[in-house]
Amino acid sequence: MALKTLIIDDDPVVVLMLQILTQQIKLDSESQSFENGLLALQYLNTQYNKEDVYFIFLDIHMPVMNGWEFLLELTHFADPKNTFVCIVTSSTDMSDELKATQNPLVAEYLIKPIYKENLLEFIKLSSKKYKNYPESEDV
Amino acid sequence: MHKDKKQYNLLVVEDNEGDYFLIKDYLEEMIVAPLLSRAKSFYETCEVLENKQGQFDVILLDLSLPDKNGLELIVEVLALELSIPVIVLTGYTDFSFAVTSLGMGISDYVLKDDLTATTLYKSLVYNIERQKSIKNLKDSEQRYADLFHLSPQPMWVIDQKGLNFLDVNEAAIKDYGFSYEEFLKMDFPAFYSNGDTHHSKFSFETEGSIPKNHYLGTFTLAKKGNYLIKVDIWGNAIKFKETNAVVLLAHDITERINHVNAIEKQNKLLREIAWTQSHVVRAPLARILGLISLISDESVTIEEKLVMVKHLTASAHELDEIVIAITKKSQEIIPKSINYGLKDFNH
Repeated sequence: MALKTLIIDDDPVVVLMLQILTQQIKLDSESQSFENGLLALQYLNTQYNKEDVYFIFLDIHMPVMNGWEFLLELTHFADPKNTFVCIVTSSTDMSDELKATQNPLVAEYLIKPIYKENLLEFIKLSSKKYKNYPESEDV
Repeated sequence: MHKDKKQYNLLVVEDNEGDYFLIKDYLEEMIVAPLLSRAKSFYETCEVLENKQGQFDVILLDLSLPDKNGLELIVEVLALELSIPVIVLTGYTDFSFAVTSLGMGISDYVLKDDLTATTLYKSLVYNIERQKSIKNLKDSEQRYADLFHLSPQPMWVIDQKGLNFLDVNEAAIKDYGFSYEEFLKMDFPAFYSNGDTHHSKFSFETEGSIPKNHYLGTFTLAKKGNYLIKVDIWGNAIKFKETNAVVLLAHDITERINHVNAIEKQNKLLREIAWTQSHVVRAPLARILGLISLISDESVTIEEKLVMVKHLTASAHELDEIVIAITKKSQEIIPKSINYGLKDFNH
C-alpha cells in the first residue's frame, strides 16, 4: 500500500501552494501535479492500483478536460474505497457544491483559499473512511 | 266625474268648423283648461309651429286639409321633426293606410266616427306619456353611443359570428389611421393579420356566451403605414342593431413590453456580473489569501517566500484588470437615454 497525492489544477500558483501544504502536513513527499483532467486521467489509466490510496485535489474550471469530465471518467474504474477526491474551487456557486457531493468519489468540497487546517480535515476524514471498510482493516 | 287638472297645450289642425268644435267639446269634457291652438291648413300649421316652437304637448291632425292631404300630409308633418306625438284624426277607414302611417312615425290613428270624449282623452294622455318614455330611451341610447364614440380608448364593435366590424369609435380611427369606411370593409382577423401573419385563427366559443370583460389575448396590430403595436384586447357582449355583437377594447402595451425587455436585458447583464464575481474575481483573490497565509508561515523558506511575493503582485494586477472589466460592464446597464443626455451635455 502506497499513498499517492494528485494535484489537478491549471493555476501553477495553486499547485505550488498545495504542494507546500501537503509537504507541511507530511502527507506525501512526492505529489504529482497535472494542469488538466486529461493528463491526470492518462496517468491513472496506466498507474491506478487497487492496493494504493489516492488523494486527488481537483479544480473544476480547467481547459482541455475540466473537473466534471475528469470525475465522470474516473468513476468508471476508480473505487471510492481507496480514491478520495477533494474538489478545490474558487467558485462560490452553490449548484457546483451540490453536484460534487452527489459523486461517491468526492470526499470533500473546498472553496479556495485552502489552509492547512482544511487539508488536515480532509485527510483525517478520508483516512477514517478508508479504515472503516472491513476488507481494509488488515492493511 | 273628476276632470284632468294638468296643463295641456294642444295644436288642433282641422279645417272643418263642426269637427273642430266637436273636438274642443270632447277635450273640455275631460280636461279642466286645455290650451288650444288651431290651424286650418298645412301652411297655417307651419306658421303656428314656428311662432310657438316647443310649446305643444301634442298635435291632433286632420288628414284632409285644403292645401295638403293623406300620405303626403303625414310625410310633410313628420319631416318637421317635432319630437311630440302626432295623433291623426280622420274619416278614412282604410286599415292598411292606418298601419302604414303608424309605421312612418305617427303616434296614433283615430277614426272620427269612433271618436268620443273618452277615446280622444285616452289617446292623448297615452301618447304623451309614451313619447316621454321613448325620449328617455333615446337619450339613454345616445349616452351609450357617446360613451363609445367619445371614449379616448380605441373601441370596435364586431359581429360575434362573422367577426366583421360593425362600428368603430373616433379614438380607433384617429389612433390606427384607418377611416370608418376602411374599418367597416375589414373583419377582425384581417385586421390583426396585418400585424401578425402567424397569429392562430381567432373565434368566439358559441353565441351569447361571452363572459363579462372577456380577455381575448395579446395581439400585434398594424396601424396604417405598417407601424406595429402590441395590445391587450378585452371584449364584452352587446346587442348591436339586433345582432349578437362584441365591443372590443384595445389597451396599448407596446411601451410596457419595451420596458420589460429593457429590464430583462439589464437582469441578464447583472447575472453575468454575478457570475463573474463568483468565478473570475474569486480566483486571484483566493490565490492572494492563500499566498498571504503561506508567507506568514514560519516553516516556509525565505526563497519560497520571495517567489510567493512575485505571485502575489501578479495576482493583485489580475484582480485589478477584472475589476476594471466589471465596471465597464456595469455601465452598459445604465439606460441608453441617460447616456445620450450626458453626451449632449459634454458637446
